[in-house]
Amino acid sequence: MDDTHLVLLAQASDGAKAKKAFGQLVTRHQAPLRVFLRRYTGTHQDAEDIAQETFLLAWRHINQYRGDSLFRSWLFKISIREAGRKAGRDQRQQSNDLAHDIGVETSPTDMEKRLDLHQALARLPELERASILLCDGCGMSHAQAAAALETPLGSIKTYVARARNLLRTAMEREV
Amino acid sequence: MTNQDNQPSILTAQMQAEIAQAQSEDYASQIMARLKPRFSPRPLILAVLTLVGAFWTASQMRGILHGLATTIPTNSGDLQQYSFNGMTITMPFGFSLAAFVVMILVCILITARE
Repeated sequence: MDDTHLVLLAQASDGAKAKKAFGQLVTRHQAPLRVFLRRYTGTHQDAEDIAQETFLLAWRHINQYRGDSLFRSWLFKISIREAGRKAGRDQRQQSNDLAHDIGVETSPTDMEKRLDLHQALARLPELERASILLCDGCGMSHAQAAAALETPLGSIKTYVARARNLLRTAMEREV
Repeated sequence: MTNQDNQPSILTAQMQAEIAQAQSEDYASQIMARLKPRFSPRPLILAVLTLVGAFWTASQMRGILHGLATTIPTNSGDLQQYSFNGMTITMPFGFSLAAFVVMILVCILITARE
């Protein structure tokens, strides 16, 4: 069953069916969303809090989703807004607990690479970071990323290109 | 692949590995446990409007029917006689009241389905 069908079921007023359909949407999108948020916010705890809040907001406001963009883009848009709100509330804390964030067993060399990339990402401007994470990390098209970030398509292409350059330069400097 | 594309591909590979790892976690049940029933004012507004409409329509119909009717007293209770285009219908006095109640019940059922 595709996202559109599941969203229609979740929008229906029948409680049990709606919850079940929404549960399937959560199962389908939780992993890319949480991984994106870990990279975007830089902290595991913030990412988990924002992801949870995103899904609760999506459930509460599912009737406002009109299908203009993919459900995934809509979900990421909510999460980016939530991340912005949270950043406004909290003093952003820089954390390097990437080993905990990732939870994938890696060799020491892999871990070094991950930490380098993590630090390089953290230094990117916010829109560039979000754009490259959505396009290169989560496999979204430029159009989908543009919908998620509420930014013109042309700007997204620029942000992704600029982010790739900045990331490459930063990584080369690390080496 | 050019050297320029190298860094994004590292990012892609790392994030895809993390996504695969996160996919195996039972995250949805945590979220489902926290979902609260959604409050939607739509069915409530619809119910109120339907009931008001039903009462109004039924009372109008009842008024019209009573206006047309001739009450005939009998030993077993009053009968009402309606005449339409030469056709005469005779029925117990409580019929229009029963029709009124049935109509309201139908409206409640329709609203409940909504």
